[in-house]
Amino acid sequence: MITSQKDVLGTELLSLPFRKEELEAILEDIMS
Amino acid sequence: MARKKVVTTEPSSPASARPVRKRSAPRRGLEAAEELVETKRRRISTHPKANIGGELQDDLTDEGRGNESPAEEPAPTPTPRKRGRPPKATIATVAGGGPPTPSKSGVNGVVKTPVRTPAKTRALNGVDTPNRRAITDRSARRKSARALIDHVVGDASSDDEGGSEAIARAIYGSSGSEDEDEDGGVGRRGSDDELEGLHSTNATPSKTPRGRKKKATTARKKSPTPPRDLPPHEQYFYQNKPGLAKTSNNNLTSLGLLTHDEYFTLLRESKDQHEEDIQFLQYLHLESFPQWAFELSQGFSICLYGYGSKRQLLHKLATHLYSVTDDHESSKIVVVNGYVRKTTTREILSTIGSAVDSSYKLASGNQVTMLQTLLSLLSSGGVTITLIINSIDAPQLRKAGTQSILAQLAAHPQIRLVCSADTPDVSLLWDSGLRSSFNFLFHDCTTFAPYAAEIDVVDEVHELLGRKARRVGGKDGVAFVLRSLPENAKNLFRLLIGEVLVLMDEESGASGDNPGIEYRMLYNKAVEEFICSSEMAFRTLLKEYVRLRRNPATFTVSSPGFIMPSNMPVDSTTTR
Repeated sequence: MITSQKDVLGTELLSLPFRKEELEAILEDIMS
Repeated sequence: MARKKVVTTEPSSPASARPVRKRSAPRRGLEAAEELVETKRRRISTHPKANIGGELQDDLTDEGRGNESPAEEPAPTPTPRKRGRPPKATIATVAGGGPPTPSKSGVNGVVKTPVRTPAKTRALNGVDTPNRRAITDRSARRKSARALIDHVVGDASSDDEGGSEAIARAIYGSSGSEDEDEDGGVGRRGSDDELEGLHSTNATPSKTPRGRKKKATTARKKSPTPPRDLPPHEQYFYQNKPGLAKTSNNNLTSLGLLTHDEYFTLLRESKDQHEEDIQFLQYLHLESFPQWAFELSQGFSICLYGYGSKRQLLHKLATHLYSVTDDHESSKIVVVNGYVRKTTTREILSTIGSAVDSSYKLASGNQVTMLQTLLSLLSSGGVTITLIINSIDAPQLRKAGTQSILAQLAAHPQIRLVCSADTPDVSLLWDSGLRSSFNFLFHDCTTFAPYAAEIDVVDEVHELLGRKARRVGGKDGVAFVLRSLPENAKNLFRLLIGEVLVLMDEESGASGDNPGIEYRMLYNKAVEEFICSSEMAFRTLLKEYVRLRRNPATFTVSSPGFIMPSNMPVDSTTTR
């Protein structure tokens, strides 16, 4: 559910493998 | 002139006499600029050096005309060079009949005729004008050559002289090239200009190599572009030259993937046009169930092959067999789904063993001993097992050991084997020994049914694209996961989503990649929102989203943060 990549500088980046619409729907689910 | 006469009257005179005569003529031709004499002079050569040499010799001969001995002595020096040519010239004159002036003059006894005849013959042949042009060019060229030599000798250089020198050079160069052209042309023209040919051969030592070189270089330059005059093998390589690599930009990464919901809605909406025909085909196969049952009862195994999933068909066959048999205690049916990735031989054997005797537990050990105990168990009891294997050629069952175990099972009289094969090369799976113990009867069972269970399209595509992380089961799957998580973890996820959405709004334009949030930033925010108090707690919370993986992930702790595995296939099947 959470992916992490390292950019060129070596900083850890956490991201979600979903589209924006999906993320919005999930956020709605969580908030409700 | 007296010497000249003597020379001309002797046609068979040695070559030593000729050059002297010829050289005396050009000098006058130059001074008087008379064409007729020029033509004669051309016979010798246009090479400036040769002419100069000739002039020097002429001077010497003029000085010592009375007594020949001092003047003649330098003359023989060029003779050895031209020794081979006079016969050629004589032959040519006999053949062409054009310029055989010496002989005619000898016949007529007139002195002036030999000078004029060559010009006439040329005029008759119609090549007069080019020759005249060439003659004038040559004279100009000779003059320019002399000017150049004078310039070099005198070593006097002024601006005016420099200009004249340039002109002289230009004339020399241009006439030289024309000479070369003419040399080629004259050679082809025929025997009438054979003397010209002679002249050209005289000139060869210095000129022709130059010309040839030029031609060769130009040919080399041209050869890469036009494939003319290439030998066959070179032509082959020219025609099969590798061109620029043509690679398409249409790769899989540019595909827009369907979301979980989109995929399933589309899948539900889609309707097979051939559904009726497929149903009819299935009906035809159902008709042959009694036949198959009979074959099984006679000790044969049945292998169904053909395109399409045969899972449904085998399921129907199992129900048919079950309905046919009265005694369900003595005959049991075991269905093995070979396409399931986790299928093992041990599992198959233990399932059969439990079907024979539910209380029986197979001894752990290697597969061969397990098989032996199972076979003895079968022999002791009176239970007949109908073993139905879906996709006997699945990768998990393709191992030689597994196939031999299945063959030994099939060879047992109390086991009836029905299997389906999906790959066309299935017959290569068994050698003659295995085939004889399997005792197969093959039936074509093309169903055209989709391989819904056998092939997991979504996973396969994700695997191809290297995006295992996408299979999360959509937002429903995520919601399911979140429901099972503690409040703090839920809050952390909400925070992460909020941050990611903010980032997406900021970037708005480029939404191709999922924007990432810095690990540190997220931690700080989490601390601010009282989700966690320490980094350890933060990590444990993040781990909640990773623990749902099927395979345990290895965490490597590094200075900026820990690396979370990017592939987390949290499946809907595992979550539900």
